[in-house]
Amino acid sequence: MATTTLARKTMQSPPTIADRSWPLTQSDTNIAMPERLGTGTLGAALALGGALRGGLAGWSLAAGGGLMLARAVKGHCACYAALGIGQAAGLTSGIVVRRSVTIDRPAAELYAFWRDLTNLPKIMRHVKSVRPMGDNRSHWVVRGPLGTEIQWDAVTSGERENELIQWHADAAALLTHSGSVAFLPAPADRGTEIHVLLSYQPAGGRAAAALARLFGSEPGQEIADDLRKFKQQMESGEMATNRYH
Amino acid sequence: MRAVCWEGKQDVRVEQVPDPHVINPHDAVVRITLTAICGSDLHLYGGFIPTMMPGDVLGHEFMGEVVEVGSAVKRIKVGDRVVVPFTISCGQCFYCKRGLYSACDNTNPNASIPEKLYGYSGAGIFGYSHMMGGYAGGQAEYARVPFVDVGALKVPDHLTDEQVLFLSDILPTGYMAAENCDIQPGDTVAVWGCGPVGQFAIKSAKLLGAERVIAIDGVPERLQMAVNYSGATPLNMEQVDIQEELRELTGGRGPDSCIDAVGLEAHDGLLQTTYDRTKQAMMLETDRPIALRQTIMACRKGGTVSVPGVYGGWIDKVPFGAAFGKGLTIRGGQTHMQKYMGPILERIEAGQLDPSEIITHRLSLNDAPRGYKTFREDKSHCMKVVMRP
Repeated sequence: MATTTLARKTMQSPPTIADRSWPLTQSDTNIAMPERLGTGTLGAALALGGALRGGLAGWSLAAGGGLMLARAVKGHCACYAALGIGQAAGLTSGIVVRRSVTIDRPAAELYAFWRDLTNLPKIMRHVKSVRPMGDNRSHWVVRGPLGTEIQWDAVTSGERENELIQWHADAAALLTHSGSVAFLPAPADRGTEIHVLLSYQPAGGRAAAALARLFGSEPGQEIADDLRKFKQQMESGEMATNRYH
Repeated sequence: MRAVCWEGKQDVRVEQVPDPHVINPHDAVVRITLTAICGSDLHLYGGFIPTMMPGDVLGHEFMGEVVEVGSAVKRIKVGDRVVVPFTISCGQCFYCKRGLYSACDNTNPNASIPEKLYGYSGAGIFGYSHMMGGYAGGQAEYARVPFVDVGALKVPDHLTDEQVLFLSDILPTGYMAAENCDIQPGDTVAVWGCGPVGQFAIKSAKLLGAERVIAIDGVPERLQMAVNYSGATPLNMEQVDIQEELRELTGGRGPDSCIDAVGLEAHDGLLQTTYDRTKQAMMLETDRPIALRQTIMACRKGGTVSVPGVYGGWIDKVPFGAAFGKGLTIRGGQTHMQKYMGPILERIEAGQLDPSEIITHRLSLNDAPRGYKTFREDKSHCMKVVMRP
């Protein structure tokens, strides 16, 4: 029901990431064509050579080659899938993350908190500061890996009061990304559903993002944690902590 | 301050830790006057609950005097004498508003851990692992109490600490276990486990109108307490075939409700214990559901299996076909404390029960290591340990 509502509403807005098919359609293909051709050729050669040679070693080689060939033909790699490489919104548009939470408060109150961008560092662990610069532009400072800071300018590219905020990073930003947050009424008296959609090209390319995922800094989890803090603050008036001194 | 700290499997120590302060606006700090060791603390002591870390302050059954309150605290005042529930609840979320306080959305700062394990996280709990919030517990001189207005129960001066302390966990837990049975006139309720929660489940089942309550345990002294305290019918699982006795005691019908007040460390001294211990050692199973299996097999058609006993992970060989085939209702979970504390306090004031009767050991907080060891090892003589800081 909620998704239907969003689809209808976003039909009227300018084309951005939030307007693409919802929920996102996912393609199984996650290996780019040059790699498919390369590994396919190598796999075929190994399979043939191994089979001709025979014996345990030969057949092992042949089996490995066969797997490589199958992977290339299918265009899908289970390892890549596990690492999140090349999936979601197609091969070229980077990583897409979506997370949602239901907050038992009116949409207007939640929208107002989010629309004042200087509030966001309170709920977003990695965001150090957001400074509005006028003309729908803002300057973001985010804590990066190993004590570094990453900075960029963002543009609020679309908004509908109490319903939707969309933004994208300035073209000069190191971390190319765009995102949206939608505020949808939850059924009955259950408050407001917050749907966040973030699409980004990570710094250092796909390899760096894959490493980051392996070592725990998974962007979906970050967004989930931030949304939880947002919910705690808006519902209970404070953010849970086990600190006691 | 002094506090009881978990340092490893079967290793608790009294240590000096920093004094707690108000951190969040809805907090209070309570000077603890009486605290207890819970049966579920023995699961921590035995190393069965993951995400404990050396130095964690234990204890989730405590009461005392409020000595400091945060800026947003309205109902509770400095000087109030309060019992603190073991679950921390915000009072504002979907679940709290519907009385499902132990499912609170907003009080576990480490919610992402149970989300991976269970799908969603329940409320934070004092002194019960980092998965459950990593909050410092109440086996200490002081404790920080978040959302004190939602949780803390003010208690009248004419009742002693010992009479009201168990409102912090085991008494409402036993009561909710009995209430979950939806007891009707003429009902027989069978209760596995005559530890503290079992004793209060038996007592509550009687208070809620059960015709007969059958107490099941392997320790004669614990069965005797169930007889003396609540007028239960005792069954010694070491001496009789439980399934056969339950069937014959109920004219072939089976108990209308069965309560598993044992949980994940159950044992039967027989084949099942060996089976489950082996699976546990091989990391193929985390909990030993022996009592749960028996409740499901014994319960009459359309009856209720109520589970106040703690489970933490995966269980094996549960006769779910029997549960389905008989159309059982299975209810359980952490207790919705804030819903029950007030009404049960009224029953205590009215003289319907005296919870202090189950106390067998009164120690100083400094004797906590001995308290844990005794509670774990001497089931015949140790029913409940309370400690004064």
